[in-house]
Amino acid sequence: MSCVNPKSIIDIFNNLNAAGLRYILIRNINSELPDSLRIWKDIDLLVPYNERSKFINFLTEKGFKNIRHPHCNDIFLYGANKFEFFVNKDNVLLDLNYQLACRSLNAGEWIPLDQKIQDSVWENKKINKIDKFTYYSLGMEDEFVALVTRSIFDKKEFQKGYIKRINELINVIDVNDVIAKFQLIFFKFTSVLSSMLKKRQYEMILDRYISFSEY
Amino acid sequence: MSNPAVITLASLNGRNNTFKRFQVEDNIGESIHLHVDNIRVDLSVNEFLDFSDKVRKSLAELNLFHGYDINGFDSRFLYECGNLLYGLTKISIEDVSLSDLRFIVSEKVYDDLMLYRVVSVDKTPAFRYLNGDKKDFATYNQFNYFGINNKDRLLNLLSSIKDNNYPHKEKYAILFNGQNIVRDGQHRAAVLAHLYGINAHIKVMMFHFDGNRHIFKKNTNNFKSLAKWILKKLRSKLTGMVLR
Repeated sequence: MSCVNPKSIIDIFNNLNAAGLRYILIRNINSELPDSLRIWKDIDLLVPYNERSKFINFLTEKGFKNIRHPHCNDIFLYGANKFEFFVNKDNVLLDLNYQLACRSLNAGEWIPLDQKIQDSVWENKKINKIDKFTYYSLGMEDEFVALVTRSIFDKKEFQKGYIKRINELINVIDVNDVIAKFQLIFFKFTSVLSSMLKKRQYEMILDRYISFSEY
Repeated sequence: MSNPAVITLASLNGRNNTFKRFQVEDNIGESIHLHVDNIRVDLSVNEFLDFSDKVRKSLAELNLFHGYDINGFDSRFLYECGNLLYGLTKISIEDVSLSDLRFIVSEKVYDDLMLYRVVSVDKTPAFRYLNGDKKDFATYNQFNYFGINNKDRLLNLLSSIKDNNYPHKEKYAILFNGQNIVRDGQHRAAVLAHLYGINAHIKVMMFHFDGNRHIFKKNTNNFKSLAKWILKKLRSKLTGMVLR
């Protein structure tokens, strides 16, 4: 298994930090970054759309090239902006996301999560330092919401790496904050979802959600 | 606030329809939305089921089916032929040989391009499956109700016809006047051909319509599908080139 050179990843994040550009690493499942990211696996970065040009200019200066994104023909609704792929000569592949979004159950259209959640991710982002690797990530509650949302809508299953991280977070998050955010996505299913997550009933959540009718 | 769990339950949108937008959506956890052009009605699940029941009763009272109970027809079939029903003038029961009937099947001709063919009963996927050609039926593209697959649907029907005979509760195969094409009941016909042979005679229900809007035009339908497919491929190629 060939991996991206960790130094290349660390350098890019150091450069982003030094340039004062706003970004958030959306997830780091199984702590792949910086040491064990397979070549052609992407790094999901959240970037404010109004700072897109600045961000892309920076990437271009650092030798990144824009390549075709696999979801470029997907439908993006309610103001969601299309994702963009940038890659450099060291095979560092950045997937720029301009909102936290998920696929709708209808026809897989991309839909941004509620604006309150979009605001929260920037207000609550946190800085992480692991040896020389320094990066901004989502706050714990927002990461928890993002992982559950992605599992249900995008992956249509709770994968091992996601479950591991959800289990790490579930005992340390502010439950009331998460519930308030879940209500903006799952509405009346929120209490059932919270209860199932507490009981670690990951395999049953999707079926229960699709067949939910108490509203 | 947008709900990512919106599922379209039914849609009759179209520029030439009475309503440009007529769509029912399930917004899971939130409400059922009934869209009629610019109007949106929000209903709870219970309210929606109650509303559906009242619509069904009202339709039964309209006697659209000339003495036949609307509840005896497949809901999906009613949905698909809904815009023709105001031109339905008569329903008759006729005796036909299965070998004289034709059936609409869809076939993958290239990549994901699907086109229609009109075939005899022995060429239908269901008949071929029942007679031992099992290879493609599981993945054959057809509408099924939630929670049932192609194989179980067909085997349940086979068992029902063996137990209850045909037509059970007046559920005939249905044809539209002017063509010998089965519009509802392809599986029933396939089961009957499997049980009694392709030359067996069966009773079918013939819907008689005014005009010719009900006529199935294979070439027109295939031309539209092909045009849409080409446009989709072109769009995909062009969008890809712009981003490269």
